[in-house]
Amino acid sequence: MPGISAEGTDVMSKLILALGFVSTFSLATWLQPRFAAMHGNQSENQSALAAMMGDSRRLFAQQFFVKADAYFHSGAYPGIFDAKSGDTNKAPDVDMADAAHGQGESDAELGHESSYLGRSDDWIEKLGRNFFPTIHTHLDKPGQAREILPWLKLSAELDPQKVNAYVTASYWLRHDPKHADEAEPFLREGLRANPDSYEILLELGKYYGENKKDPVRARNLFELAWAKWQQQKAAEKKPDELMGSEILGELVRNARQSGDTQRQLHYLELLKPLATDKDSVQKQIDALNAGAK
Amino acid sequence: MAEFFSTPKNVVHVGHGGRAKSPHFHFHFSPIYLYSCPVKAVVEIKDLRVEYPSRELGQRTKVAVNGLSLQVAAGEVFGFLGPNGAGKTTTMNVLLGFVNPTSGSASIFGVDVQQPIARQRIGYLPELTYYYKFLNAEELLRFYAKIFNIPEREREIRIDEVLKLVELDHARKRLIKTYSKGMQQRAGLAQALINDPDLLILDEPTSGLDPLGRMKVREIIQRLKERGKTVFFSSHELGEVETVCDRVAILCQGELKTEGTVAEITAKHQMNLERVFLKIVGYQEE
Amino acid sequence: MNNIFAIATVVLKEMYRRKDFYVLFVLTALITLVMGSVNIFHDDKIVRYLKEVCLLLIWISSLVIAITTAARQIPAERESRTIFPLLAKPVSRNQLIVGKFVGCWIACALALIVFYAFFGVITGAREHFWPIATYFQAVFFQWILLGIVLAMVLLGSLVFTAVSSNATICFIVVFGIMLLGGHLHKLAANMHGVSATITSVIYFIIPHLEFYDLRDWIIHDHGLVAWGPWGLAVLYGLIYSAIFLGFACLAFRRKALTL
Repeated sequence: MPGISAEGTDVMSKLILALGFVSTFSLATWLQPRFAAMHGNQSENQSALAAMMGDSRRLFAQQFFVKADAYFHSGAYPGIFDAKSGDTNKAPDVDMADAAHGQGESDAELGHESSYLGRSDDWIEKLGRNFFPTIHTHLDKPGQAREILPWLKLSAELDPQKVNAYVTASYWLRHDPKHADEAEPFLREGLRANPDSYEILLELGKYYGENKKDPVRARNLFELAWAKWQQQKAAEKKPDELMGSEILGELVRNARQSGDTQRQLHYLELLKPLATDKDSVQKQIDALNAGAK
Repeated sequence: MAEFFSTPKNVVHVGHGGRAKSPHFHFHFSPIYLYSCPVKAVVEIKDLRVEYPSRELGQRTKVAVNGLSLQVAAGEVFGFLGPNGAGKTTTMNVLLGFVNPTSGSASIFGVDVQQPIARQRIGYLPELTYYYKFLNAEELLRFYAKIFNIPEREREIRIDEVLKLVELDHARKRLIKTYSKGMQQRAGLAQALINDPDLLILDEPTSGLDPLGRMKVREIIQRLKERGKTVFFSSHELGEVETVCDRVAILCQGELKTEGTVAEITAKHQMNLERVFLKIVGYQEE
Repeated sequence: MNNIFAIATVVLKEMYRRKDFYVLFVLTALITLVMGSVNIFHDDKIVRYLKEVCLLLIWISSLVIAITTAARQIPAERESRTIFPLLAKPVSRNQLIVGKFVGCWIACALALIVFYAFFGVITGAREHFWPIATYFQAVFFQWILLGIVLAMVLLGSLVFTAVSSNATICFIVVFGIMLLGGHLHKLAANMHGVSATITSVIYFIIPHLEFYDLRDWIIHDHGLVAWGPWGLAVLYGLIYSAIFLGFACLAFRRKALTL
């Protein structure tokens, strides 16, 4: 800038810097309420994001889902190079979802130096292990699980067909008394994108049964979930049998709560071929029959 | 101006830093010790040959300088003449340590040019001067003064003096990128003088300057000569060389064609310096 | 030492007067604040995701600053011919290389301090928790990593003619090492013959930059890294920086500089 001294340029730079800071903070303040308002208009938002990213969004959605699982394990998480030969079949996203279905690892497996890493082969690997989390813990203390929610939400936004993201997020939302009510709109959003998802209907049923204490609505949803499961079975889409047994289990419990023995027996009969512990189911059927007599 | 040239010329010193004041310094640093010996030839080039990898097909190397030997004595103003591509800049590059000679040797104040300490007492002005665009003249000179280890108090005084000398005092806080070409050339001269050098190497110092600028540079060279400084400069301006030089050398195709005082050369060839120059470079008058 | 610091000061001045750093900082701050203001199930206590985003941006920005600053140092000196009046003074080429390195490294330290101060304020405001010692370990580690990267880039700037090709190659090498460096020996175990040997050799000679990535450690609040291994990794980084600088000095020593 001819005619402007170095001091003048200095002052100008400082002014530009100050202006930059002010703009940054002002923009953030201005954007915050708009982002909040966008919450109610999410379907449009999704389509814009989806259009922008094309098919790559599914890759990112999966990546963010895995990220949520890594968060659930406090960062101690095996990469593709860390899986030991015996464990390679285990999908990385199982644990967080398993925990959501009450099938997570036992406490005995937690807290140890991660076995997935095996023995270090050389000094570089040995030294390197000091600098990333290797202690296996879960985010299961009150309020901690909230940390996985952003990634699940992002995952669902990028791939609305990713049913697991809706189900897992709503499980953790339901277990946080302060945010339990957030589960319903999220599940409904998932249901809009996946109208045939028995998983979402099951989770929605659990929300009404456990959180809203509304067994009638819960029953309707479980029954709808079971009907969707059966439709898929009939269409040879190989629905998850474990999930089918879980739906029936919920229906049995719901019938038990309402004291309807016939309905209980009906669902237990349906459950028998799907259950892993068929004897236990048979015992329940026998006990109910004996009680009825 | 007088203050600037007030350093006694015969006092042997190493820069102006605290190092030179150390009573033990001379015993620890042998190149400096050499400085305290009387050196007659400030610049000494012996049988210098410089080859570059050739870009022409069928030719592996190109000879830029071939068997050049010359000496520049203390207090002399030495003009280094030659057409474009004669090897003047290459010779200067060797003297400044930018290029390693293929064979032969070069020394400044008796120290091999490859030693950084050989450059402690020299000032250098390149033909084209570009300086850090993000610095102003004062900062540029402060940076170079630090390199010469000039103590802080003396540094500021010297910066003032040099800026006044080259008439850039009014623009000292302006970024160099905002200077005109003439001002940039003067800033270049200021940096070459910041250490009050005993030897100045100037590569076509007046190129691209207007007549007033040229006159100012000539004046400065004249003053340096009066102060007993040695000046080694290349130029195309034969009139300028005739005015200020004690001795000249004419280089053509990497070889030294003639060397001596202007009077000696003109007497020997029975023609003025311009005609001698044209004859040497092979120019035929129609 | 005097010459090295004089050259370093000029590098710092250049960084201070260029706009790159400010642009990157404002971008980092802006993206972090925007991400922080996104409504996630009306829960304003979610912090790890914010830490992840902010740290990722800090890592990218600091690498961009380091690589782009170091890559242009020597080529810019040559291109603008400022190297000639500089080397015509009692400065050795080694001092020039080391001075440039020190300047860039100090500039990176200042940038990291500003970035992490922002990170500390943003995350501390949410979780009311400032693990200063852990942050110090992370910042220092990142600084050591940037030291290795800077030395590598300076060496690259003497080998590759174009600034852009050097910067691109260095970005690829750095990201490649960060992603794969620690797993090369496992890859080598599944290979046979010469390729296995080459992969193993690469594993042992590359600087393991992944050591210095404490992002997961900070995000998931794993407390302090054991000081012993931390110190060893610092030493390891300094040795690699010195090796790269040594090679850079060797490469520059015999290089002809022509006007």
